[in-house]
Amino acid sequence: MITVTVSQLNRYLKAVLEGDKKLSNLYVCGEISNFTRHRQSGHLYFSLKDKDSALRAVMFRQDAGDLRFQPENGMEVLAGGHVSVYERDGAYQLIVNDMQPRGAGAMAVQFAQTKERLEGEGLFAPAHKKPLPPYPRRVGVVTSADAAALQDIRRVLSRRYPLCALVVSPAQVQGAGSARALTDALNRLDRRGNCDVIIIGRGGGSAEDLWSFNDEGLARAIFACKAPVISAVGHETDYTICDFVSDVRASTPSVAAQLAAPDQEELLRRLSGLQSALRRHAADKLYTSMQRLDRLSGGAAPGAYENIVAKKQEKLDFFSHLIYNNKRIFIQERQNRLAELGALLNSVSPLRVMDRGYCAAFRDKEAVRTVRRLAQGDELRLRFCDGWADCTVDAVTIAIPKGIHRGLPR
Amino acid sequence: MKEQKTFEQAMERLEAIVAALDGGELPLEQSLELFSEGAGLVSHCQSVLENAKLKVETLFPEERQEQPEDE
Repeated sequence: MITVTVSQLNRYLKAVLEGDKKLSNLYVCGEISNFTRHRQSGHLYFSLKDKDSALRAVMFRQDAGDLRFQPENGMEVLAGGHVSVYERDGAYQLIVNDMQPRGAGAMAVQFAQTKERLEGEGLFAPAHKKPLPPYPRRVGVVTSADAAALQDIRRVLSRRYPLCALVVSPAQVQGAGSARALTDALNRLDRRGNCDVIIIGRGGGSAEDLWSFNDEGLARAIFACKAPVISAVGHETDYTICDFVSDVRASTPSVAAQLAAPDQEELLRRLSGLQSALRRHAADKLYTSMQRLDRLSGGAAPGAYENIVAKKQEKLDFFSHLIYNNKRIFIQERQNRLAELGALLNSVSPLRVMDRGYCAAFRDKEAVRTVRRLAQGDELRLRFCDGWADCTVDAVTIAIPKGIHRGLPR
Repeated sequence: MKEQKTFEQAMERLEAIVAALDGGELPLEQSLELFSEGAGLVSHCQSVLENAKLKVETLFPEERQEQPEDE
């Protein structure tokens, strides 16, 4: 039998426990009790217990600073660290360096605390929400590479808007390390993916499965993203912190894909509508231009070129029907023919007629088409192609030359 | 992706053309020009949509970087 001092024994026990690999990196699940935070040092002292026994635990200030929740008595937690001995008291204890809430109650508390804190900082404010681009060229997705969510998104995008490119940044979506993996994948995508919009999400699961989407670090990464972010976690009724901080929340990954990109069916319909509008405008425009041409030709002496204009009118009607076909070449041809028509009309225009020696008579600024309206002494202005002459009527003689025009002028 | 770059611009130009024709009193020459430009854009957009196929890329973590296929 050996004899030792108390200190020697305690020191020895400490070495034994710290030397045991099994005790140097483990997670203990239990309920917090006797919790205190030492005001000066900032260290946390508490016990972890289950229904049969209890264990002393301490979490030093620098590790406690990483905690994303407020530990409380009664809270179920998962405490990670190593076992050691506090020599002064001769007590073994768990030195905790990481702690996560476990169990619905604890998770609900952490959720509420995180939500309140981030909301207080303004991360959920509507003013920070970015609008989604109407025609995204590159759609990024952060999700598990093997899961159905990715296939759903791919299928929906392929059907609706195959014009875009899908950029996948794969990450584990549940379990240990998943919050960090999601955050890294998101940052990588935002920095290097050159995306116009990013979807982050996963399919349905239990509260534990979805837990990493409540991670504060992930939420902050979403807030800091350059591209607008659509979150799509679980089902309709699941709300995670990511849903609050994202620019748009979708109830499922498929819905996210629908929100991210336009529907090509609808675009094609809109294009048809624009096409009809174009045709209608072109036809209207031609019609009103034809009417104007009509008016111009009607103002000259009637009968002389009615026939010619009527024939051209028929051709214009014909042209306007052809316009209903929207081929570009037809437009070109019609433009050419309109030019031809212009030249033709020009050749029979009153001015040309006047070139050949005829003049037009006006009395009091009104055209005089018949001698029956004239009386001796009337003052006339005769318009020639290059000017006019003011004259007085000496005498009026009525004579109808044979066969030149059909009806009697008014 | 030159096709893609112009799709959004093509749609916007189309809407602008129709709005201009709606508005009004444009001379015939200009209306016909706008009409043929618009008709061309409609055909282009329709064929771009009908011929498109979804492209998928994967962005791996730093150790396995995905290189573009143009080397």
